[in-house]
Formats: sequence, C-alpha cells, structure tokens
Amino acid sequence: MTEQTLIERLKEQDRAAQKWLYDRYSPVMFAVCRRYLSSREDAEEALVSGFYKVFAQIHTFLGNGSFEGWVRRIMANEALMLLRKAHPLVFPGDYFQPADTEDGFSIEADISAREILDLLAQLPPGYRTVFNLYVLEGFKHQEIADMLGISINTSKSQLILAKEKMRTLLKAKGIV
Amino acid sequence: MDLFEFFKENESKLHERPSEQAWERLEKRLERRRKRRQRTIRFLQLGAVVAALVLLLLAAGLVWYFVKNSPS
Repeated sequence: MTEQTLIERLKEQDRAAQKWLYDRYSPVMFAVCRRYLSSREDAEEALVSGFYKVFAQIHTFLGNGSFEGWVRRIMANEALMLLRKAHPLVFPGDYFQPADTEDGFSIEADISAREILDLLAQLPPGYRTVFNLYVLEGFKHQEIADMLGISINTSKSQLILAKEKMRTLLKAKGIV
Repeated sequence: MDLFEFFKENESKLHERPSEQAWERLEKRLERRRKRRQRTIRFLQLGAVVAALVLLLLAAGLVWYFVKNSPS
C-alpha cells in the first residue's frame, strides 16, 4: 500500500487501514512514548490516545512533511501531556547558560534497551524531555521551546545539563 | 561516536510491541466515536427532513391563503 493510498483510506476511517498503520508504527511510537514516561502503562495510554488523535485528525495532515514525522509529533505531545499531568515539568538550572564543552568524550560500548531506558529514567524530567526532543526526535530548540512553553535559552541549557548528567551516569555505570 | 550519535544509533533497540490490549482499547474508542458520528448524522438528516416538511406545509398554507383570499 502506498502512503498516499493509506492516507486516503485513513481519511475514510477505514478500520483495516487503521490497523495496518497501527501494526506498522506501534513499535516505533511505543518507544517514543516510553522514553518520556517511565511506566509502561502510562506509555501505553499515551500510545492509545496518540493513535486515536492520528485517526481522528487525519484530515489535518496536509502532506507538507513526512507522515511518520507528523505521527511522531502527535505521540511526543501526547506523552508530554501525560507527563505534565502527573508532575508539572520543572527545568532546574535554567537561570544560567552553561558552556557546552567538548572533552573528546567518545563511546563505543554495546548497550541494551533496558540500560538505555534506565539511563533516561535517571535524568530529571526536564532534562530528559529536552534530551529526547532534541537528540532522539530531532526537533530544533525553537520547536522545543514552543512545545514546552519555555525560552530557547532554557532549552539549550537543559540540553547541555542533560548531556553532562548523562556523561556522569555513563561513567558511573562503567559504559565509558 | 559522541553522546548524541550513541543514543541515535541505539534508539532502534527501544522499538517494542505494546500489549494486545492496547489495540483493543483503541478500537473501542474508535467504535464509540463512529457511533457518535452516526448518531449526529442521523440527527442532522432527521432535522433536514423536519425542516423540509415545515417549509412545505408553510408554502402550502401560503398558497391556500392567497388562493382563498384572492379578489376573483
């Protein structure tokens, strides 16, 4: 099925097309949700709500960008909404602009999915959210600032602080 | 590789199927939405039929009134 055909069928609320999309994208989108939400149940709830929005709002996809990117953005927003509902996001240390220092840090280790999730879960929610949005979703600081209602500088400082914290965690785990 | 590349490289390891119940829950919500939309459409159709009947009766009444009260 081509992407165009799929979108046409989704606009007709064709259940088989919805199931096809769900089967194809749910592993990737579930991973997106799990990176923001430490509990599996919450991540599944965000996934279900996210797909519901994708199907209900399919007519708003205008085909300007990638379809997968559009779905991914809905999932990230849904996970963020759930995260905020549980605990309001705080961005510690956003009052200063730390310098981003490159110290020749290099990693070549093999790491499991469980270890990645554990590392992300150890970041404070503010750091984790910006880290996920920037590094793993590929959003720009301006987009992150808009999504989270923060300044671009806060987004930048959170990323630098998240990077520092992650380096410390990796060192403590003996991964580097 | 640097820290960002390291996470991007390993991102696919996180891909995992959700439970079977997740699709069932989603399907139930979609079904509820479909029924709600159907009810709305039926309500609007019924409203349109009622409005058409009212207009028809009104037109018939006006015709009857003018015919009855015409000077000839």
